[in-house]
Amino acid sequence: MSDVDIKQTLLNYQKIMDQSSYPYINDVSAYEKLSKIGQGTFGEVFKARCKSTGRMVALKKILMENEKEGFPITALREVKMLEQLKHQNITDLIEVCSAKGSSSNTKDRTTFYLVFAFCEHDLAGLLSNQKVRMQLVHVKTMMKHLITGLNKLHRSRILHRDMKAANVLISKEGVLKLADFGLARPFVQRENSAAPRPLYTNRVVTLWYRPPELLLGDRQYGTKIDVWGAGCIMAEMWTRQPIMQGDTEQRQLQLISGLCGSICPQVWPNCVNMPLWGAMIAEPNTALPQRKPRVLRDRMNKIIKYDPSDAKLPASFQHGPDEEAMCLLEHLLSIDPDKRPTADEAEDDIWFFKEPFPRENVGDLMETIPNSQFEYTVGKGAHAGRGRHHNNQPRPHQQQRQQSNAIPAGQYRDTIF
Amino acid sequence: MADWVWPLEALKATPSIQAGLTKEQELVYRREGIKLITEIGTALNCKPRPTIGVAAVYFHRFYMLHSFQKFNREVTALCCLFLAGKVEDFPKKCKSVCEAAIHHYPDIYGRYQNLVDDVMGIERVLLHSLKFDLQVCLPYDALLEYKTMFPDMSREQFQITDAVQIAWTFINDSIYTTLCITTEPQMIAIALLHLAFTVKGYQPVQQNMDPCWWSADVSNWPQESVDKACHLVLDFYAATKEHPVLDSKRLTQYQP
Repeated sequence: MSDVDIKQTLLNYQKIMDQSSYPYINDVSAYEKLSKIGQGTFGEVFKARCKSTGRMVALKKILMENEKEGFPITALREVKMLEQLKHQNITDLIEVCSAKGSSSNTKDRTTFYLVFAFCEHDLAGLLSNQKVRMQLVHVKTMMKHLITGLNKLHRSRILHRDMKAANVLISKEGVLKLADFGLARPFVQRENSAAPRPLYTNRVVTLWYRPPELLLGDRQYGTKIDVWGAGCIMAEMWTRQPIMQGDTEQRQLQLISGLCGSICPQVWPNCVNMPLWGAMIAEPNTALPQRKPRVLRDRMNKIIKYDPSDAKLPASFQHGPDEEAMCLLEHLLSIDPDKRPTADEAEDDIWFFKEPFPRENVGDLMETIPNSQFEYTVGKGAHAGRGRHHNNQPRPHQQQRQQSNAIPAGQYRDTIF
Repeated sequence: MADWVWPLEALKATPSIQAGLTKEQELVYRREGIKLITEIGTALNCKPRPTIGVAAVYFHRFYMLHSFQKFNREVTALCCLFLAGKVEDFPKKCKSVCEAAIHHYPDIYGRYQNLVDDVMGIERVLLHSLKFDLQVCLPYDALLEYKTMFPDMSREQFQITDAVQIAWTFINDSIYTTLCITTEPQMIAIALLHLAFTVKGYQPVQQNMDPCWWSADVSNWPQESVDKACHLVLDFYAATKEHPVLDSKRLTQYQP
């Protein structure tokens, strides 16, 4: 190595040392808090603006009080997973910030914040806003993003465990982002089936999006629980609200049976091995009604349609249901987890390779959202992690009269199955 | 995220050296910290892959940003172990970590009144310093990949298995050196597998007959750099042969 090289190396080294001088991570004062927008898994969420770049961010506060074991392991998990998951369809963790606690405390309590790129929209808000008219191409593009993001997640061996429309964010540019990894966890591939599989907590996934195996007490579930959630979200693209809104686990199972057909060994051989199967099937007022037909296709056929406005399509297509979309949805919402496609298979589904083709983004849809209207319906913005899907819209039939010429796919429907 | 590989020259001007330690003294301090991590970790049922390995990487990185004079190595070592356990989903209660520490090294940890609080206190500094970049890649994965690279050696299967076994041990021991802050994990795997071949006198035969068998995978990595990495590990063995690390269960103290 020549002297010049060594000098250069030392200079570079000096640069590294300069960059890493205290404080090694940004102080939260680099951001200007604008408003509180919600409650995350371990603390409040704020909307904020970066003082130097003007970039809008969501600050997720990590509560350290009552934490006997230091920095919460759930937050560590989330940070570590998000570092691994840099992908355009997954929420972007910009950095972790800290704030010095008030010095009144004898102990130096530092508060940490996760800093995310801010997304103004979430799918639940978007869908509940009837002014947002979605065409088939928008639905397809958003589903493509959703499944691509989910595939990245599963390839990285991570379960999301809280798939729901409220946890799907949409950027200004019209790109979907899977968000809220508060319940996510890494999983072990079950390659060697001889090894005992670890048991996971069963108490995951918001009730309306919870698959049959979880409702039946399964603790050895896998990626297919997220696939079920993706199916619920896909149907919701047309119904414009969660398709099965049970208020108890029993009720949720009944709703699933009513829509997807009875949960029975004929459609799902392994169901009898689920921890709660025996007790539940024996109950007089069982949550597992038998001989229910699968009516998903009938219910959805009326609304999963091509856009009549799409001139590129042959005339025969214009009024029939989108058969490929229906097929994918049926697949995603299979009662038997083993019959659901993996995210990888779903990403290659034929539907995504048929007209109308999915686009880069749904930016054009974003532009149609009137700002004031948006403020009214979504108010809190995304990142709020709402547990429930509030619907404070005017009743749909009033709206329909005004919009008699509205395209079917964009129409608001009051379809609770 | 941040770049965690430093040039070799950086080791001549670490915060501890700037604060008055010599390079050799610092290496002794680092080895002692790693020894604490290894012994206490093993007592808690942690394995070199991943918990102890990750804790060691945290420890070495931390002392590229702070001096031993300012942050004592015994508490930092415990904290690295505690944090690595949480990150690698093999959490140990902070209290258990501290109890194991006091049990195994009473002379070192016995004088602490509130060891748990001290570990908690340093956790924030550690997280700050690591910039929350907690995901650490260890050389073991790369080693297992290279194992499949020698079909010709699999005729005598024990040869490659044997070599990988030895390389695995080298990787276990390499955490005592500064290899993980100057060399990518993949390179460490190459260097130490090469060392294992050399020690055993095995010829890693490849179709292209390139003596640098790794060149297909990592070009521009000259033999001399590989040798340098190997020597770092060999130096560790030489330096601790006569005097094993923490043999007296007391920390070495250098007076400034």
